[in-house]
Amino acid sequence: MSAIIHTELSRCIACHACQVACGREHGGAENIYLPPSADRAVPLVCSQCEPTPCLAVCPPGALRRAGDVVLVDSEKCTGCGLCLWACPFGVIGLATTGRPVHKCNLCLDRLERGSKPACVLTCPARALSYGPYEEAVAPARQRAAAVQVQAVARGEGR
Amino acid sequence: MEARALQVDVGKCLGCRACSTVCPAGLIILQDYEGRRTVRFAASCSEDCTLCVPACPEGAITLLPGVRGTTLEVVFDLLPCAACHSPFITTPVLNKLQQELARALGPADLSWLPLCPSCRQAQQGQAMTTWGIG
Repeated sequence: MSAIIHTELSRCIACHACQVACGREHGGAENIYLPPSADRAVPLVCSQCEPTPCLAVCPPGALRRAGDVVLVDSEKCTGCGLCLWACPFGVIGLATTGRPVHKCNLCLDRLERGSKPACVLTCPARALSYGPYEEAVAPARQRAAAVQVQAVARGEGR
Repeated sequence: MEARALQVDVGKCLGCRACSTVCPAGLIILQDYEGRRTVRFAASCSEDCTLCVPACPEGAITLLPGVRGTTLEVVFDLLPCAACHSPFITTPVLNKLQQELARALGPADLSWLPLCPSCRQAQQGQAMTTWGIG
């Protein structure tokens, strides 16, 4: 099962450390976002979608999939912006020079060295983790299930 | 380098950012102002490059040696985001995306397409909060 960056929403304190770490890792380009949502912020990264809308619309074919991750070829990118507008989650950004576009690459360099993505290592609240999808999601599902069971036990039901 | 006319097929121009971004000499300028996008093409190019030609997703640009060109302005209305109403996309780009995404994704929910990237982020954040998972 593919590996993802998993976000534990209840832990995020919107400190923005993940964004600072990501920008530092990628020459100023930040690929993790914190859109506000009700009373909290939600850390949002590229889902490395499959099928892949950004890759499908890219005219020079500058986006390619390499295993779990969708990568930008900075030589081919013309800065047209079509991928940016094709992303359902708005998580592709444009460099100040107009190109290339930038997006989360799961810190591939770090993964290859046996490390983890910069945002995951930096988050002081441990709201971000990296690992196989099932491993990442299983604890969250267990917690959600426990909350449901407790509510039923108190007679609140659902 | 001999000057060549910078010829643009206006009907094909999407109003994207490719040509203005790749031109090393600033002969193609894109400007967004008050809900409209203007792409201004110089009449001729004497640079030793043809970067704009392959950069254009629609092949709308031709460089013609020995021909006298004219400056050209292509103007687009920027459609407003369906949520925050800030102008963000041209109609030809939106149409192209609808076409390409339908081809690549088949029948799919594209209701997020008229939203600007910031509002798409916000929508996804809301969805993740509602589901209670990340």
